[in-house]
Amino acid sequence: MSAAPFLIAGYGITWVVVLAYLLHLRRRERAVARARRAGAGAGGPEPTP
Amino acid sequence: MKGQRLLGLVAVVGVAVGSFWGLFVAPADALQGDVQRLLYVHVPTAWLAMLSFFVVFLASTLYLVQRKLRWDLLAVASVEIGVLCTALTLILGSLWAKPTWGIWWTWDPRLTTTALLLVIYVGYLIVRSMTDDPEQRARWAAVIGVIGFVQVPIVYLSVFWWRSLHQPPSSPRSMATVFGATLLLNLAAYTLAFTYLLLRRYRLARDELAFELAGPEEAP
Repeated sequence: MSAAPFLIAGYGITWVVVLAYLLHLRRRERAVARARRAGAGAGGPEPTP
Repeated sequence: MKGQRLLGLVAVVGVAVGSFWGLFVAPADALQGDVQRLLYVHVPTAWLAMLSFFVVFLASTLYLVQRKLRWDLLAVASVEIGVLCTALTLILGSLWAKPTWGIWWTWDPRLTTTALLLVIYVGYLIVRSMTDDPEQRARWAAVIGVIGFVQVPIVYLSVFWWRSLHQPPSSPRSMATVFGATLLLNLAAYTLAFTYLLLRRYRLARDELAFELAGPEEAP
């Protein structure tokens, strides 16, 4: 059985998950900044779960 | 902020170099062949999962003693990363199991206790979403953060306590120097990445809480 598909999947999934989490954090950081600028409670970011 | 960016950059470079080293420079294992290279990402994610939940345990204990919300923020920041790392550990383990054990999954003690660990901390996040009161949320979460940590040593010791298909814990000291050095490099790089993500997530949690408590006008 060739190891390549398992290595590509393993390393690939790890990098994609970390990248996706970083993008998720950036989206939430921007939501907080946007809500602050808007200056209104309504439409603000969801509280930390 | 500048230091945090530098840390992020060093972590990315470190993980890239560690991955390259693990995939292309370190020799293949004599028995398992190239698939053993999954070790250099499977062990670091497992280590980070345990480190994350240890941080949660410490922060939760400090919250219960001092009742300061900053400890709760640190705990939730660490839980998120821990959950991601536990899920990755299970996925990577499954990818390693198929070519070596011939199966994607088995109800082996190590695998089962790790899956239970994931369920506990996903539960932690679900419980947090059940109340809007920051103090109550922190209190409930801290209790789970302390009690849930009992599962971490159980996962670690499962391979010694029960007959397991999974090998005993791997560490740089338990293998030949060339494999150990590559693992050490990856462990260091992934720990830097963890520190960067934790700092960034903590900052976000702090900003969101400030917004939640004071409203947008007074938020710092």
